[in-house]
Amino acid sequence: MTMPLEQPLAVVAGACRAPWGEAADGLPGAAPVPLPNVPGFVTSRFSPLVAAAVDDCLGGPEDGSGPVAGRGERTAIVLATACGDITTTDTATRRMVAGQVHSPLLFFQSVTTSVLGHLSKRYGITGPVSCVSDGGELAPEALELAGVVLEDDWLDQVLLIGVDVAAAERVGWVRDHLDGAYPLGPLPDGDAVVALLLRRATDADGPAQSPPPAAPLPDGYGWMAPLVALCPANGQRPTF
Amino acid sequence: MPHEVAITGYGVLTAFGFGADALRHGVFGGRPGFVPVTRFDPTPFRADRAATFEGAGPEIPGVVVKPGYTPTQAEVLHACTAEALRVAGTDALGAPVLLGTNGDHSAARTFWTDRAEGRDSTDPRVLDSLPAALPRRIGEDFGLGFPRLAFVNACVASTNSIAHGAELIRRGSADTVVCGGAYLVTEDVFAKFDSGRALSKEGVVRPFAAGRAGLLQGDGAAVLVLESAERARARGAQVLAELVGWGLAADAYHVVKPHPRGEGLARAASAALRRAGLAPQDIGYVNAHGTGTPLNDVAETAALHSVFGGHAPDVPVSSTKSSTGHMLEATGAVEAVITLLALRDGVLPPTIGYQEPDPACDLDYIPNRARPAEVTHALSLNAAFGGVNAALVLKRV
Repeated sequence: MTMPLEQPLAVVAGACRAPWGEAADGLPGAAPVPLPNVPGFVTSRFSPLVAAAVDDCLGGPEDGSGPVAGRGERTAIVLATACGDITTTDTATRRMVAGQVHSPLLFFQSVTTSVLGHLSKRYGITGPVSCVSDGGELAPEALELAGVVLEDDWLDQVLLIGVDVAAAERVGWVRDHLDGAYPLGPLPDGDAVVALLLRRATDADGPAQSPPPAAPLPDGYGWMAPLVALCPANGQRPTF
Repeated sequence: MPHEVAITGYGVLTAFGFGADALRHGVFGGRPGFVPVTRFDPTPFRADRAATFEGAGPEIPGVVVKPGYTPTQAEVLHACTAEALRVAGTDALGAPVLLGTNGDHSAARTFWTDRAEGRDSTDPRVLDSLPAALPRRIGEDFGLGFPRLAFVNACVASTNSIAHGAELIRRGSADTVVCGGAYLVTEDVFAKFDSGRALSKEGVVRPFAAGRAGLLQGDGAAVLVLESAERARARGAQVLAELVGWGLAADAYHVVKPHPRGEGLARAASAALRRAGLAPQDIGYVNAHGTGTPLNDVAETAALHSVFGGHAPDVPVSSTKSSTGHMLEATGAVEAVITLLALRDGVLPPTIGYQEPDPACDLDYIPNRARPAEVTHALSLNAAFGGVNAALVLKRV
């Protein structure tokens, strides 16, 4: 970080889904449960992954008692992704190359913020929404961005999402042809997502870890492993 | 003690060419930048025009634009960054690089075309098809610092990059930030918008007017140098404008449609005013998102009514997308530069193509001709799919 956050942050809730479609025994979140159906998002697992992790993190909004209830206006979202929804992007491009006209469904699915429109409506979140990508140190950069956003006194909490789908052919090419000037950080072994709900730490949260998070980091999650390691376990609320 | 944010440099490209004078000629001159698309065959599509830079107008330093050659995002971002640093009179060593970009789609297209034709790609620009490669490349080119982030939140991406850069300066994390964004019209993205019936078949964009038929895309790139006002003053730099407010907010309404009352956009604007410590009546000009789509322009008008109340009819509003087209990830940065020029030149850019008023859009849209006006504070608005909204407030110095 370039400058310490004004106040330590606490992880209020967290959830992750492991590399998908592969055996992932021992990884946090490696439960073989299906991804939720997100209406309209049918081309790629990117958006269903985001929806799954956010629902796991926040709980369904149906009973009105989740951590966003009554705080929607004071909740921000930060989404971090190394490659974005490369499945939808490449599907669209390959159709073009094959001489096929685009489907309107690809139009909105190809935009990263679309699924956040679905989720912000579902949870009533009306705070700031940022989406960022960095090829290198994306986890600490995303944490810093979330912390900076939360320095706004008008906000109570930030929902931080890290997501990438399994590296596809184009990403593989980029990895194989790196020239050292454009490092692409370690990517997850497959589809992976993590969601953390962050608030300013209070005295009750205990001393902050520095630097975050505590080792060891889980394998298989690539750049988002430090975020997965912050998922609360055994009733603890990690602070940093 | 929060630090004040100064804008000390910029570089900008639109369909009218490179630099501020190209904008003065095109946008402030009330000219549309739309031409028949030649960089790909538009025959399969409903629309056939875009505001592409075809070489008519001030050239991009170091980039030869000729028929059949489309510059890359890396090339235009490099040129804009060099110009922004030159204007600012700083090398900005160590400055964070924050750019709104969704990657260079033409590079991705090259990759898949090669694959389809049985070749292994050899074009190193495929690296730039990943958004994060571009801020890294610009950072390396100019010896800039970290973070090097790509903002990928669609049509608010470069507005968000500027807002975050301002925030880094406000809190003292950085004393200089290089921020902005780029989008150049490509067939893939054009096709997506066309399939979604978002593009105007009329070949023009008529924001806020009755019978408006949609948007058209445009080439755009802009890079701004933000500095703490103390640093700028200390080194004797010319401050071009101050960035005094910024805000983001969500609609919580729909995957793609804006909130019909523009609630998220109003919240973003109000947050920017609050941060600036300004009252609504302090704003003398609004550079609207103004896409020219039926839904956006009504929602944005409602948002402005919500923010300005009874003062709304007195605030001049224009959509410069009627000239430049919609530059997607670059639009916020280019429109920030246009807003800066409006403040400095004392001229408000028009909404062109404005013929019949739409009763649902009942504000002063500066129809068709630029208007002289000495304005102290101006608001620039942007919105994206998913109901994501962003606002900046600039102050004349």
